Amino acid sequence: MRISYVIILIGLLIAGCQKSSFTKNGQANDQFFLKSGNIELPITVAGNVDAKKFLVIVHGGPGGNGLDYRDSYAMALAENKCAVVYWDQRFAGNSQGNNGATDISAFRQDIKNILLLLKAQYGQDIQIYLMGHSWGGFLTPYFLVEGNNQSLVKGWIQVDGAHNYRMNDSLTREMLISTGKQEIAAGRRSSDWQPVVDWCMANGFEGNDNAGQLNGYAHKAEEWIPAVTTPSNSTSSGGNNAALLSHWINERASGYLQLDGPAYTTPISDQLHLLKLPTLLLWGQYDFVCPLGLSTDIEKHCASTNLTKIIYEHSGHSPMVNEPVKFWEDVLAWMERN
Amino acid sequence: MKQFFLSCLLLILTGLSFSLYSQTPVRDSVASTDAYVPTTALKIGFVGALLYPGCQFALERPYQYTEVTKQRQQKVKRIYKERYIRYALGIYSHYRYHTNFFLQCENLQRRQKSTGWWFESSEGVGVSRTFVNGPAYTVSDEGAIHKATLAGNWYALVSVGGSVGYNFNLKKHQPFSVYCKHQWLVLFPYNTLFLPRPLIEMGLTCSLSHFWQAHPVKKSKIISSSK
Repeated sequence: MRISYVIILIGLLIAGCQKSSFTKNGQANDQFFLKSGNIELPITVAGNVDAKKFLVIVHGGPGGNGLDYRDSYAMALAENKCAVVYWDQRFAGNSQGNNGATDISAFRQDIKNILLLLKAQYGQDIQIYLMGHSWGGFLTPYFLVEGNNQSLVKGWIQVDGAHNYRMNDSLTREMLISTGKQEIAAGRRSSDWQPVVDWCMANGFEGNDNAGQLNGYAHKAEEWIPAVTTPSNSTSSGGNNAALLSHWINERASGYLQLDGPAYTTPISDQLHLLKLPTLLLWGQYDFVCPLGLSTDIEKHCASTNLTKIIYEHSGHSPMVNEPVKFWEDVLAWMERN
Repeated sequence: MKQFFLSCLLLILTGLSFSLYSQTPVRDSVASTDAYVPTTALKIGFVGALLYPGCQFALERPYQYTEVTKQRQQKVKRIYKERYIRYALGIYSHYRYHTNFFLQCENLQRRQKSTGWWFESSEGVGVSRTFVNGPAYTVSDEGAIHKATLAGNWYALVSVGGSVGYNFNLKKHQPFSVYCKHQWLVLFPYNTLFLPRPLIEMGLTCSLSHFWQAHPVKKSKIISSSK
């Protein structure tokens, strides 16, 4: 009996010595969860919290993984200068639970709750920059145009984002045809390009099947462009304890549930005039997945008077992978200015 | 939270150690295996969910066994086809993901050779309760933030597995076995679908002679071969 008391006492002592989950100064590597209904969304805050600048990454997908963005460049460059917030969306990455809401409005509410949670735990005076990539580039402006959500955020960074799905598919088709023809004429990978061009000429961009096929071709086409580079020492997010099977299953659940289906009927273009906060557009020249034309649409409609656009000449859909040094330098310099 | 569960686990382990009795070894060999009867046994194993550690406690109870005697020209070979029900409580902790407690009931089919080696397949059903590895917070509609206690989820569970082990009772006359088991746990519903988790378990089985004695139904089968 006595030994039981000793064990309980030791257990309580260890539990009582746990450090706080939120680092208030220095380098953070915090992990916590946002519980939303029956789903728990993991959030990692890593980097320099002294700067009081928090970069919240809204990952791609649906069904992507926040920690995929935490490669050696993000750790060495971004996390030195600011705190980077890696968050797994519902039905993505390490998010876990049962039967959570699937509507896109639930994603929007999650973003808002994360920002409120960050401010509550790290201080109301922190400056939050919201960076959406790909599908995250739909969610980010979708969140910002609602109510007074812009007041929670210091700046918007859009990286190869899909704010208008229908326009996106149309632009992808056009780009595949025009670039494909140029490449065939130049005698580069003609056998790869020809069936893609033929298919695009014979089919439109409307409908799920066409959109899926275009997306598949877009990812392949990027690999066929010699100008698109990836540094050889680029490393993935190994060691971040991502649950690989959870990620794999969530990816499938996202597809099965067609989480981004409502994005087709919710184009953000006609609401971009509501956005007045500092905006940074970062685009890969050779992004077939979310072509450069989408950034032009934002420039045309966004009401921000502080809008900067940077095009990466050697990048496709993910400039943070293709040109990581330039990418992070640009992001950090812009955050410093704003 | 994690430390608290580990302390509880240690407590359970300590308690169990007082009720563990070893079985009087049964003298058994190919020549005299009539006395061999599978018994209730306690299993303690270390579990690895890929890279993430855990452990499992189980009680297995035989309900039927078939003694198969193969008569050849020069020798007699004997194997036992044993059937067990196994009740298992396991835990593994995936850093920054969740700690999973799972309780399952398995049906085991074991092929025990007279050399001591055994091979086993199993299928089970059970329930799992996960606790997220980190503090969890809720945000109300009004923006108020609350810390959620014991955040995690209940899941139904099915499992399939296979193992190989060595029973020291048959040759060395010791009341324990060692084993290595591979198992797939499938948790559902997990974000509408299911979550598979592979487990590797290595452990020790101790026969219990004074606890929940089993009286498995014995069947015999003799196979003669002229070859």
